[in-house]
Amino acid sequence: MTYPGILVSDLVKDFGGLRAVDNISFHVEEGELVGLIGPNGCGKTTTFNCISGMLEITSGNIEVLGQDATGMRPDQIQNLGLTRTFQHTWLWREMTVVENLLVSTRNQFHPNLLTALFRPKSRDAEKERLLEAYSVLDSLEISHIAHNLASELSGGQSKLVDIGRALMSGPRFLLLDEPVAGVAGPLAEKIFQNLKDLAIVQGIGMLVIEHNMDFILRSDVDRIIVMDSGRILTEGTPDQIRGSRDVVEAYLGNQGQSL
Amino acid sequence: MSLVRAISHVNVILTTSGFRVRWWHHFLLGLFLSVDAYFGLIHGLGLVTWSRALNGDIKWIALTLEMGMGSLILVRAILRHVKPAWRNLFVLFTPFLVILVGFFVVELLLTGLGRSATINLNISSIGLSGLYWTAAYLSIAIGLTLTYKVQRFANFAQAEMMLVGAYVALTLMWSDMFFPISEAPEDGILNWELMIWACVSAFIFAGIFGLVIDRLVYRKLRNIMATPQVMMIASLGVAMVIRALLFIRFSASTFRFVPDRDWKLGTSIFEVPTELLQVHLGDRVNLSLLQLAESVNPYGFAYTKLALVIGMGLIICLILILLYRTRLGRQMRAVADNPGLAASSGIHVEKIHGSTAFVSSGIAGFGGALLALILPINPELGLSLLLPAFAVIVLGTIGSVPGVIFGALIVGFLRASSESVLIGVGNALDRPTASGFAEVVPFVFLVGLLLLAPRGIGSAFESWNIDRLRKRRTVEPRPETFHVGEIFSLPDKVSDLLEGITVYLEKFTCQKNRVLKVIRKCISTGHLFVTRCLNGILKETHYIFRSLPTGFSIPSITLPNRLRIDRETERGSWIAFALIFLILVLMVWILPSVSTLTKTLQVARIVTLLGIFALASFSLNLHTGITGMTNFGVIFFVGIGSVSVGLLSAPVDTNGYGWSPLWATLAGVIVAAAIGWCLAYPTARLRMDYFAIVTISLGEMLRISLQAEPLLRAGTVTSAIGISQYSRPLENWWDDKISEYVGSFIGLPVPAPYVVFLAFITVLLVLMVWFLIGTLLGSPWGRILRSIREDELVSQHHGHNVLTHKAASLALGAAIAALSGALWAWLNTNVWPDFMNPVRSTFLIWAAFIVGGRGNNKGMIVGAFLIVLVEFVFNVMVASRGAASLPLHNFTFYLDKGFSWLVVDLGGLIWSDRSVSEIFPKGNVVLSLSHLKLGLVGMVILGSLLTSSRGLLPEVPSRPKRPNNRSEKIKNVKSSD
Repeated sequence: MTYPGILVSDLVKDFGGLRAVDNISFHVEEGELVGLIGPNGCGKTTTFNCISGMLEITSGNIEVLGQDATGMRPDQIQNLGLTRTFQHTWLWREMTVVENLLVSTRNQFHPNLLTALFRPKSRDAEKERLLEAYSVLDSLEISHIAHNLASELSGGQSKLVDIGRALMSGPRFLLLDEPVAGVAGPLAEKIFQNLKDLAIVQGIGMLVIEHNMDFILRSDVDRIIVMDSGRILTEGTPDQIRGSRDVVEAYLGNQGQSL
Repeated sequence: MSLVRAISHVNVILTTSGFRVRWWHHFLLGLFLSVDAYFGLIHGLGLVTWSRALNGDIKWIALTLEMGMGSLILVRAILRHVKPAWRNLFVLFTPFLVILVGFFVVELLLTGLGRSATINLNISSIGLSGLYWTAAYLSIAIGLTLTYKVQRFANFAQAEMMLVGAYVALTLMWSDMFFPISEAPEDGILNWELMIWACVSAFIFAGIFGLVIDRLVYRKLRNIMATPQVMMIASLGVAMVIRALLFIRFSASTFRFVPDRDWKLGTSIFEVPTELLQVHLGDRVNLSLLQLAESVNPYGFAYTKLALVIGMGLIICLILILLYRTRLGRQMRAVADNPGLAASSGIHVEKIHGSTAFVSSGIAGFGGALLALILPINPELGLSLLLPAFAVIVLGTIGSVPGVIFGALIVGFLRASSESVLIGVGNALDRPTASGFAEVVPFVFLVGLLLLAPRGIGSAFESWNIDRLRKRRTVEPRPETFHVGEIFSLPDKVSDLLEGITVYLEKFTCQKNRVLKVIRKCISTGHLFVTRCLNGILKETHYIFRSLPTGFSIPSITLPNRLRIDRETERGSWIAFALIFLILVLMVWILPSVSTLTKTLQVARIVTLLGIFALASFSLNLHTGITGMTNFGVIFFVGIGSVSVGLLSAPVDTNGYGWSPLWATLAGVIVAAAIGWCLAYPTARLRMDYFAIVTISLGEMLRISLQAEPLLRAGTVTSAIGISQYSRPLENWWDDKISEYVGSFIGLPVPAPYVVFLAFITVLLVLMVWFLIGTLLGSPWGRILRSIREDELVSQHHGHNVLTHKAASLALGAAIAALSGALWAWLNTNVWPDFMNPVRSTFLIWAAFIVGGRGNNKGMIVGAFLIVLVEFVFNVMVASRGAASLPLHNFTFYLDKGFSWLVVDLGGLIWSDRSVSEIFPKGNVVLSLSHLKLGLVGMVILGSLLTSSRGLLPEVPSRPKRPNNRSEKIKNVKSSD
């Protein structure tokens, strides 16, 4: 069965004797914006790392955009159309913002030793890509820092550049690890709104880790998946989650019951 | 062009189709290779035999390599697929697997050749000499691992610290107080006095030396948040300086530390009963694999060796107590874990760094003093012990002290047994010189091991231990046990004592600081006074000048401000490059020489050498400066180039292949590129420092092979070491037709020598390669390489197959280095193993790389030029000693005078006259200029790292420009900000 989006089935990840992700299954469809929340250390980022191919999974199956992606290298998965961002933003620090955006490959020519040598045409392609990078930066309202070194940026700006870099590859699916942590409130909401628009207009599926419970409940996500100690606790629309007793308990511990 | 397109299409398809390399692909590959090699070796079948491309010894070597690689890949595939629960245990046994694979391959090879080998293993001898090799490696490795744990870099100067200790012991031995002991007539009674004094003072002196270096160099680097890579290179510079100082003071001759004549006696040994274990490999006729021979003479284990073993054992116990029982040890471990957190919980981090430096250098010095009992010491010894010590710490996973002890035991026994194994196998294979390979056995073993367990085996041990503890905790509550400390209260007492010492030391530092404060105040007051006075004087002169007519006024010095060149822009970088280059050319111009002919020769040689170094630095720049792989084995690729060029174009009747030089060069370049490409795959998952160690080991392997392997000798009928007599490109054509014309054109009385032509070729090649790399790095591919340097994980997540890009970079760099090697071979008309000595090659190239500016090819040329020029200036200085009429004679004369004053008059206050006369017989105290040069190069590395770590010409990446139609909008945005 081909499935547009991602389909995770029976995913297990062990670190030595520690089971970080315990047999979880979920799916995110095309054009859907899904939030992934849970308390610290519940395995959200590990799940991301498994999907994006950074970690070798212990067992289970991962399907990305209709193809079996289990055991693929991260670059192969990215070439399928799934791009991710990192929680601790890792930009290439000694490169400018625009350069950071230009490195992504998908849907563009594959630069390698041979093309670099023999393809003068890549210059034209380069110009087009540069313009494209600017339009991405415009949409994030950071085109004025386009030629700053990435190491000079503030935390919030870095986050935006990271998102821009992910968008630049023309993804069909995005994994965003806390995309708006450290971004000022109004802008954060605006980014979420932009992401939502992207999901609707371009049909990009998105899975977003967010730590701020209030924020994600207020924002306009389609569904929320709640994880707790490696398992999926519950899943549903923001309204359903808001009413769920389990979630409150997971976040606040047993005191939650007395509240 | 269509081919290129086709290849890139295949590339696209491969990367997008989702082809996955599964573990069983590796398994099948390994299986195929081993089976193929097996049939090739035993039955004369298989790919290698059928292809008929290889014959004789080379065929057997190829088959052996195939077998080794096949079985390693096979083991690795199995290793990666075993259950995670078992994997750690499995990894622990990989050292034995590697050894087993080695024996298996040799057995098959000998069987295939129909020969038999007998390896005589003298059990006690191997056991005991294994122990002392272990102790020798530990003396360096413990310090290395401590530095690694706390300061997080690979300290290349550790072996030099050991040498410092050894020379402290020697100086003590020659002192007036102790010399009578060491020269006393043999009385059969061991005198311990000198021995103990030497050990203690070696520890303290080397420790203080290490502390001073830490304060002078590493602390400054820590303050500017230097990366471990920079620290590692700085330690290389420190190593070069110390080594040069030792060379200059103690010369290159070897000395033994003899604490008492009786230690040297043939009778001062323990006679250990032993048995001879014979291992029969290959074509065994009625012989079993293992066999114990009859009676053999007992093995004599010298007292001195035992002293080394016991001494190191003691100091390791002390270290373990220090680390795990004292406050200082706890603080050290805290800093190792997280310096920031340690600082915020009240630990004086700098003090911990200082004490780490003291302890690790001290141990090395202590070990050095003991090692000088056994091995004749000279400053060259450092590197040959340092590299196995690196193998040891990699084996034990850097930073773990128990891991290091384990690793040292393995490597020590390997080293001890390798000689007899190599002699046995070498005799069977007609290679009586094979025991020369004993030195590289640890590296070969290390490389094999890293292929199997890329993170070393210590981490496997640790995770296994963690798992065990976790399981125990979940299964049962820990039973109450008796208190271990009650039995072993001695360590506690020692720790109390040490704690007391720490407190005392703290008090002492407090006092010291107070004194320093007073001194500082005095100095600053004095300074203030002097400046006041000067100011007054200046004011006066100013008035005088003012009173003069306006024409005489001092020109205001604003020139430097106007001339300021921003070297970080494209244009500024070019201008700075042109300026520096011009200055250097001018210096070449005024470099003295005898006649026009010698001047021409000199300039041609400088140009060619410059080209050779520039090409090698380009290669290093591509690997390290752009792609971020710390390559300490530039000379490996250069060596492959020169060896294959020399070997292939040497005449057939003297073991060569008689190719034309141009084809040979092409072949050399292709071979180097292929090896570079292949190197990427096993080393892809290695850490930065492991990669550095692997590459430097590869260089050493090639150098030793060149010494010991008869197939790599050509050019003389007697097959002496080295390659010579090979033909050079267009030499006949030049000599017959062009040289006379060119000679008269330049104004020479004789036909122009071949070097002139070589210089011309070199310039062409350098320009070509420079342009090529410039184009490549300006393209999107160059940008990807830089992104890999910054963070390869992220590059991979943005769709780049990092492995392929690294492999391409390695291959390209290797090809360029091979070209430089070919030029080297042509310039020197022979290839000796000696030219691959890292001190004379790799380290110089690194110096050029650092000084010139990482990531900037113009910088590489400037750096290479500087290094070559220094070389020539020193050549002139050495020559100038000959006669008073020669240029620079006076300078050299005063240099020697000054040195003599330093050593004899000033140094005489510290050391005895004997320690001078032993080294400079006949009172002829002469400064060794070639070693001074080494030290200067080291100083230059350190200086440029400490002042501006980006070098003379910092990197100017070609960044995309702002498109024209955008500029308006940007301004608007900026103004609204």
